[in-house]
Amino acid sequence: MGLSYWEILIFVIMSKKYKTAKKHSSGLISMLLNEITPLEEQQVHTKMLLAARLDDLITAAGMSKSAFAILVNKQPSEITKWLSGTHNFTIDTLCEIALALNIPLAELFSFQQNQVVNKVQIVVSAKVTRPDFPFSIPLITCNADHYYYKTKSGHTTLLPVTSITT
Amino acid sequence: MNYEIVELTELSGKKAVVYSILKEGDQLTLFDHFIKEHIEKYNDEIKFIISRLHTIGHITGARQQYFKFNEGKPGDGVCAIYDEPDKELRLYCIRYGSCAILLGGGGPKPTGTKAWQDNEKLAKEAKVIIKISKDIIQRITDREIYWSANGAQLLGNLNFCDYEQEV
Repeated sequence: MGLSYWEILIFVIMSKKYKTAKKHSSGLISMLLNEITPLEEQQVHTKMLLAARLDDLITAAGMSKSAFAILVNKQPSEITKWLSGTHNFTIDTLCEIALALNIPLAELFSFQQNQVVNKVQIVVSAKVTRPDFPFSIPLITCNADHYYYKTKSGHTTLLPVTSITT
Repeated sequence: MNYEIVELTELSGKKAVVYSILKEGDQLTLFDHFIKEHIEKYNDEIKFIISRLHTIGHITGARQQYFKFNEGKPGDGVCAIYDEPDKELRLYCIRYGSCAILLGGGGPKPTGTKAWQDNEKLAKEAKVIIKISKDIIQRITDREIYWSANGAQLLGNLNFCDYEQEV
């Protein structure tokens, strides 16, 4: 059975509206990525992750970049370079940063990142179990320690709070 | 200029999607042309840029600190990949949060050049990416282009034709 005119029209509109970008594979990029040695790759990764970690630590300490620059006695442009992920830090500089942020040196290399959750789907299921005592909806609340309940058989009964909670 | 936004599969990853521009009738993107033009003279710098872009796409995301801003007009997102002071190549791009970047072209920025307006090649490349940014902002305003639910992918009409601007 063929699709109706309206079904085709809706399909065309929706496919245009939610069209993703065309994937483009570049031979030049592939070739250059293959030329990068594992050492070079590791060096770039580490520098960029260290810069990201430093930025997170400065933010977590409640400091601005300029406040941090004053703390480590550097120019703000030097801090920008540190955070750019291109800087080759010396041990001396890293010790200085760790001391300024009041953290152990190893903390600068804790690269595990919090996963950002963009979408959450929550499925809720309920299982109805029969209570030990056959009661349903409370009719009235009369006082602090006694409640009326309607039993399944249709009778009302007065219960002390202790007998319900236990 | 008729062009299309395309996703670069080698550089895109779980942290960021890397886009570039494919002009009508061309097999190479603006970023491919940038590589092709400078690979002979600046091989190490090109590899360094590609390695950084690969890390952005797969490991860190496009964090603000990796870019130099104020290369375009206020609010257009046009920036340059942060380069070391002793490096010459400048690559222009548009950053869309930490989840997506669109790569344009670029060129060498000789020592002493303060702004792209001072260099003919850089001015040409910067103007192209500024124009692209303007086109994309217009499409987003017109609700022809959307961001996906996770904020990482551009959806909608990603083909641009000059005649649309003239109408």
